[in-house]
Amino acid sequence: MNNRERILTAIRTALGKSGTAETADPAARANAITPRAPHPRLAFSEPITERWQRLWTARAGTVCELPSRDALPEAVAAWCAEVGAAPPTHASGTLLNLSWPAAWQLRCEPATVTTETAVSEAYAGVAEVGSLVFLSAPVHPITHRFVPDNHLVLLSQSRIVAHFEEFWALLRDELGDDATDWRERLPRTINFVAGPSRTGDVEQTIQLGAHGPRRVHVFLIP
Amino acid sequence: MTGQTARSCQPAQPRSPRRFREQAVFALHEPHLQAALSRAADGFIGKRAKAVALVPEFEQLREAGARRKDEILADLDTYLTAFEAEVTRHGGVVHWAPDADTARRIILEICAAANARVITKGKSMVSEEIGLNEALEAAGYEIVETDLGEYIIQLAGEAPSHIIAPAVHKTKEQISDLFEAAHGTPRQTTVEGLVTEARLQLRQKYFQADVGITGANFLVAETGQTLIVTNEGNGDLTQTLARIHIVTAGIERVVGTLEDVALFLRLLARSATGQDSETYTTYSVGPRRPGDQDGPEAFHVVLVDNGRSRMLNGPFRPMLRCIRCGACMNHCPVYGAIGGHAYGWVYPGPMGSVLTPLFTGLDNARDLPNACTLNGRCAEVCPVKIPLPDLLRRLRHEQHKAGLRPALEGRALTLWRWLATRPALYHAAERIQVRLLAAWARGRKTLRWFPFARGWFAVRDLPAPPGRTFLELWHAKRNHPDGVER
Repeated sequence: MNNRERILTAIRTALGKSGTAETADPAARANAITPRAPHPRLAFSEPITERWQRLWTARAGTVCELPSRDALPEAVAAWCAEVGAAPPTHASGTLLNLSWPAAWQLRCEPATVTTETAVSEAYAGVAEVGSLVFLSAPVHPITHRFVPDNHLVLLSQSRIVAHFEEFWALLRDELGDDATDWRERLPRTINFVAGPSRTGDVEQTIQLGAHGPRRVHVFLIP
Repeated sequence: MTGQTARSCQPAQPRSPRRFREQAVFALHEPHLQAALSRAADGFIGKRAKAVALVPEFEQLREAGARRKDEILADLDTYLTAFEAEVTRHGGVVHWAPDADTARRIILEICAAANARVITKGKSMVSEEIGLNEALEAAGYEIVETDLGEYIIQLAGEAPSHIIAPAVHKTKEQISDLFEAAHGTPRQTTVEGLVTEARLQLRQKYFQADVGITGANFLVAETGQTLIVTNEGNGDLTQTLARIHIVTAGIERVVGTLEDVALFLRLLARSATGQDSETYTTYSVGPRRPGDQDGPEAFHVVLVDNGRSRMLNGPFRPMLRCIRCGACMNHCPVYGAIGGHAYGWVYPGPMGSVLTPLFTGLDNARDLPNACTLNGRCAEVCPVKIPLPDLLRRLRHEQHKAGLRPALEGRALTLWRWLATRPALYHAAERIQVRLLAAWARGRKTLRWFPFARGWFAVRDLPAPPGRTFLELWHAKRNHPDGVER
């Protein structure tokens, strides 16, 4: 008996089941992975965007509003000048199509130990906890979210959902279609980010910038 | 060992659940530890209470969490094979480890096949449970713990003393000493300075790492994803920048769907650190996809049984609901007094006092189920409603059945039961006792010693009783109301 069979047999014996895991009812497996009656959620009456902003800033994230995505390059330049941050060197996805200052030499590459600032677009926001969501893809490197000191993020208000459940419904809908199970297209990594990196490991005192970005600034467009 | 000798020396032997008493006495007399513990307890309890108060649905969430975990545990093999199928679909490999030896061997083989040299690690209690660091070090690898708390205790050569705040027992001054000695850099004395120094030291390591090992808060059967929840981002750098990502997880970490994860996340962050959510919640499955510019080239999940399947059968199954939030230890007066190391093994506090005897043997941890006042706070705060005091009581019972309790204790309890089931006799004995104590006090308000009870009085005083029992006073008051009380 191999290790897999040993564990599964031990579990089945403990649970009083007969037969092997392989002969088990396929319907049981389907049932295991099917969402059932909804779990309790946090009820809130606050408008979704307001709640998102309130929780985001409560976790030391910063935010400003922009009229459109075209306004982003200028707003990024202004933000960098204001806080004294190096201008971004890394960007991802369709953001690269905006008219950025040529001097920045923006590129879509993995971030390295010297990368100070990256600019990304969030796939969605979740109002329940005030977080951003990013998916990994060839044009969306994971390192942009964790390596630089400063992470600048474009978020569209129309992409903010109330609860985690709505986010997963959105993803299932956008990744899958009639011919393809959405799980076939599941990205390697989905990151939920609620503010800058922090730690409380020295005397339970909250300190920002433990390993990931020290500053995460959101440019909110309609 | 007496308090005097413990005060002056470190415990001479490695810590073990077998030496709980001596380790607890040592902990009570360790001034740094006592300072760190008193600071921590208030913070954890207050933050959780505040976060929970903002969620009127919290009780409903706990109910649903307990119910869903029970459903999953009752069909655990199905959930695990569904999870395995999804990991495989995305090009990952699932390994099954019935025990700690096998888990270590699997991981050593992966590291050897990859010609690894540097291994970074995110926080994982399972890796502590299987003794992974020692095995990897013995095999010549450079191991770097990347969670700041874990990094601190790695420098100190210690084990975690708390499951979510592993260095909670260290003061800032001790951390300054450790960093100064390890890094050879100017001494940092502020929290900011210390955190920045660790950040700079560890940055290089993430990029050098061949293998990144993380734990998993949850495994999702629906998608094959493994989840880590962190505040620092260390787990993400560990798994993204290393060539190979290995996930270690207990078999009970699996849940059904992404909706289940939502439920448990609502419970976890609030119970653990009193936040609405932790900073980073990351879902990963498989190696990097074709065209991806970063992410690991290989993805392995090591599912560890190590005694868990045994727990499924019988009264201790609810313990497998545990989502490792640490709320039970934060609210435990015994943990608050002695910290995590005194428990002698990987898991401390109430959850540890249940798990340690079940994982390592009843005989190996005789004192742990008894190091509990049965005050019930752990069960009140447990996000998945594990009846911890009941399980501890049950372990005491099992110890008794196995003949592991001292004979004198059994005889004393038999005598007490004999007396307590005879009310007239019991009250008579009480009357004699309070009169005796009152006479012994000779008018003083407190008793400082009593024959045959020197040990008890060594660390406390007893208020002198008034000479009559509570029942006598109550009857007197009822029969002769003085017009104030009725």
